[in-house]
Amino acid sequence: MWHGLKRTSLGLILMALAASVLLLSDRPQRSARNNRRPRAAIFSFASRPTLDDSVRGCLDALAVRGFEPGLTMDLERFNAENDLPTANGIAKAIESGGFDMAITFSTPALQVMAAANREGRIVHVFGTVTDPFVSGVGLCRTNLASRPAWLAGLGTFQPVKEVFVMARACFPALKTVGVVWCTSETCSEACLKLAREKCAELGITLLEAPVQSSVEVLDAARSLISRGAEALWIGGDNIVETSVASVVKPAMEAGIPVFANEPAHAKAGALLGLGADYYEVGKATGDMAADILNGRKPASIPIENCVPQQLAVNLATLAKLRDPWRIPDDLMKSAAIVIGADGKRIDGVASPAPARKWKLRLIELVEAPAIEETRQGILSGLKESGLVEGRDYELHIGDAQGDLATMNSLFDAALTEKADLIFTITTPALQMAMQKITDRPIVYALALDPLLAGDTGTHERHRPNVAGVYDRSPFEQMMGVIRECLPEAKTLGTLYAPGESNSVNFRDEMQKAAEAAGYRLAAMPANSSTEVGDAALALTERGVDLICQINDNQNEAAFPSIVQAAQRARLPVFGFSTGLARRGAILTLSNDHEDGGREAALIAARIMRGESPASIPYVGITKVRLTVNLTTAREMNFYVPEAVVQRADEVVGREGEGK
Amino acid sequence: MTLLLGSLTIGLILTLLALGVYISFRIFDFPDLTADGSLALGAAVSAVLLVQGLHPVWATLAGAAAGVLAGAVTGLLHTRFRINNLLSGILVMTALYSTNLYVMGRSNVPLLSVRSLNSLAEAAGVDFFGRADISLFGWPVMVRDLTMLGCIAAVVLAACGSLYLFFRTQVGTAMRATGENPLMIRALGVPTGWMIVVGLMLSNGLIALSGSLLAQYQGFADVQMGIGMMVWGLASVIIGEALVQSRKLGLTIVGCVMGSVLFRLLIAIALRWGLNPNSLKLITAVFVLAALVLPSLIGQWTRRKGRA
Repeated sequence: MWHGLKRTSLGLILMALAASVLLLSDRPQRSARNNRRPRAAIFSFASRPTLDDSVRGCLDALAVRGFEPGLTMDLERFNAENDLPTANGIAKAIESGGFDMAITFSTPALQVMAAANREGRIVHVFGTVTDPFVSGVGLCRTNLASRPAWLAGLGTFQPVKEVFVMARACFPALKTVGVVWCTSETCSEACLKLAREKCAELGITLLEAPVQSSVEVLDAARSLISRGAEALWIGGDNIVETSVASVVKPAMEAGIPVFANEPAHAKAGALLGLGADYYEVGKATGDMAADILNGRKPASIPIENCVPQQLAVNLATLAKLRDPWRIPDDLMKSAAIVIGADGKRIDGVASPAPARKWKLRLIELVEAPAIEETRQGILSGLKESGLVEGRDYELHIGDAQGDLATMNSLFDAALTEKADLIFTITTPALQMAMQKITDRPIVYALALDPLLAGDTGTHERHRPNVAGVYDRSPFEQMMGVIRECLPEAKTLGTLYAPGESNSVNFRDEMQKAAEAAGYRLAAMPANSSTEVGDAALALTERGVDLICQINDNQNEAAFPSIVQAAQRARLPVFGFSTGLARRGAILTLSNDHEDGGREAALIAARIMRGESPASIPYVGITKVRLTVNLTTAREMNFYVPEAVVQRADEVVGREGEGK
Repeated sequence: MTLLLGSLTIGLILTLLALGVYISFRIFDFPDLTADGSLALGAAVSAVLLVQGLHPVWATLAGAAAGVLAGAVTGLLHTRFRINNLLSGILVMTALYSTNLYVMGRSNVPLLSVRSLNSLAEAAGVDFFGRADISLFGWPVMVRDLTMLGCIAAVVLAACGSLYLFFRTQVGTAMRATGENPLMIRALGVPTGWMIVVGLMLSNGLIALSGSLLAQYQGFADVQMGIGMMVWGLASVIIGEALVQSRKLGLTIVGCVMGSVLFRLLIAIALRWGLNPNSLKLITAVFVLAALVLPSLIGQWTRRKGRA
């Protein structure tokens, strides 16, 4: 026994040593051992963008203040999904659930929580409420001192006056504004009161058209235009807001703009949308909650109106107006969302800095040309997005050197270092990330479509923490190019690597594209790079008219053997990777991997600025590069049509350019 | 802490691989290259069965059983058809590559959304602790990581214990003697051929079990996941032997465990300190070298001190 201990002691000591070195490196992560972690509940009434943004902002603010769910505080999230009975049940559960604090978002959540918590057993912080003073929870605008001692929060009233000032700034001659409003809505009426005051002050005539239901909105808007309105305004009115198109359409026909108190309306065609940034509202609420958790008395916090403004501008609308409206530069700069003249959203025009510094980690499987291009793209994309390295983010790169066990450790290391967002390059890295990480964003690049790599769902509804740009070669476009270059071709050939998931998937995709275009595809497996040469020879004997090589690591490495076999059989070779054009392919149509990386970085930047990965659909790389090598073409006596050469992004060995 | 738990888990999973390599290389002196194939085979069989909805425990055992079969084939090729031991391993390993592709139907089977040991461990842990994360000595820890580690540790402990007991039985002793001195043991009437076959079955069963656990831990099975793994297993065995400075059965088994875990811990340190990724392989080589050289240096040093 003693002998055994003595013999194993060296190993045990070394292991203990290694473990303690690891733990010592993690010392900062160790949370101060306080006796009891605070328990809070976040209660949101429904899954709506405004409420989801608020919750996200609240969580971020709490984290910045040192309250991390699961680490330094216990946090449970509740959502009533628009159902009032459920909301009541939740409120009771929170009240009797031993929580220290309830944080509610939306007016109904505030109301049911306040009703359940009449005794004041827990502290209640609320946010994303239009007007807390009219919510019937014991708050009084005229007598601020009389309020429940356990209640604190923020009101967020739409910036009505501000949007009129903005409209004036865009068109100083503005004299008449029309508004459609629903007479039975208290919120709408409250907004209208403010609008009337501001218009009187600015010398604008406010034309009003009251409606009772959404079917009347269109006629009401037309009547306003015929009465000479130079612009239409939409306030906080539920009826009108659900039928924005009925206001925007007649206005656009008359060439006059609509401005609104909701940024989302700019997407629907309004010229200006000025509303509250609910992510910021959530952050302010979270800050307030953190103050109270740190010991501040709720009653000592004034209940104020908090409107962090968010402006959306639609340039497509601006171009169609009758009057000389223009967006002043300072306004343009402050716009968080800009819809370009083509109707598409322009990202990064205004670049608000992220709320905190993000720790980014990039994890890749091996070093390979496509991987390096993608990584380069991510680096330049992050710079392009307007984020500043050092201030907004820090990025570390981990490469597993082809070893899966090491890649596991790389992910563990990233989690231990509390990375905030993880980039993955290659499919195995994405799969491992999806397995290990569910609580922070993953942005992938140069991977198979995640739906083929284990995620279930659709491109729009997917894992809530995953977003990115997947890689799929432009097979359909390639078929068109082949038709142009070789009109008489019938059979295409390619080699594939049965051991590489990308390769097999690309073979299937190519098969589909080829059959759709009326070609037959002869696919030949090669199990190792040494087999590629023989497999290529066998392929040339299968009656193919052209070798069109799909992308995989093995056949890219052994590409020269494919070229040799093809030259022997006088067959042209096309490919899906730009580098191949310099290594014997006549034509390549490739995904621009650098651009894919860049797009992935832009997605990451959106996440860092507050968007949720869940709302960002999975997309494929969009940019392709056409490269033609005329030197190889001449050697092979292959004629590349002039139209294709004209289109090419890069032409190698053009006539008259020398070698 | 996550990294420590993660590398302990991976280290323990690969301990099974090291034990398998130990049996073939050390006990039988049989350089068995089947390992690369049987690791992926275990992963492939388990993954496919898990996707079919089989209970993870059965799927894992089936993976190990597939490895046992692969080992039997290598053993029979060598003993029945008198094929050179290296060659029979290479043959089976090569054949397994295609077999694995055939088993999986493609080269990569994701296990993210199926019930696996990992999800079972997570559920059990959450049941036991009542929530998904707890604080361990002040470090926040995912319960899933902790229970998975416990689960794997139990499997490894059971494997080590039963191996030890098995090799002390009459058959086990005969097996060890087959590797040490085949002429002598044959003279005693032991069929050495069968001993080798059974030994290889045992070895590859452990390796496939390791592959099955690895696939479930990392969330996918890939046909290429076995490539080069045997080398790491061998490195762990050698590090372990250097650490315990003994070729006694019990100690070498413990050495295998320590070697494998220590190896992963050292890699984790290298990663945690953010060393240049391109120099990672060089650093791992230096680690192995240090682990090999240090114990004998220490030995020399203590002997010299003893003489003085």
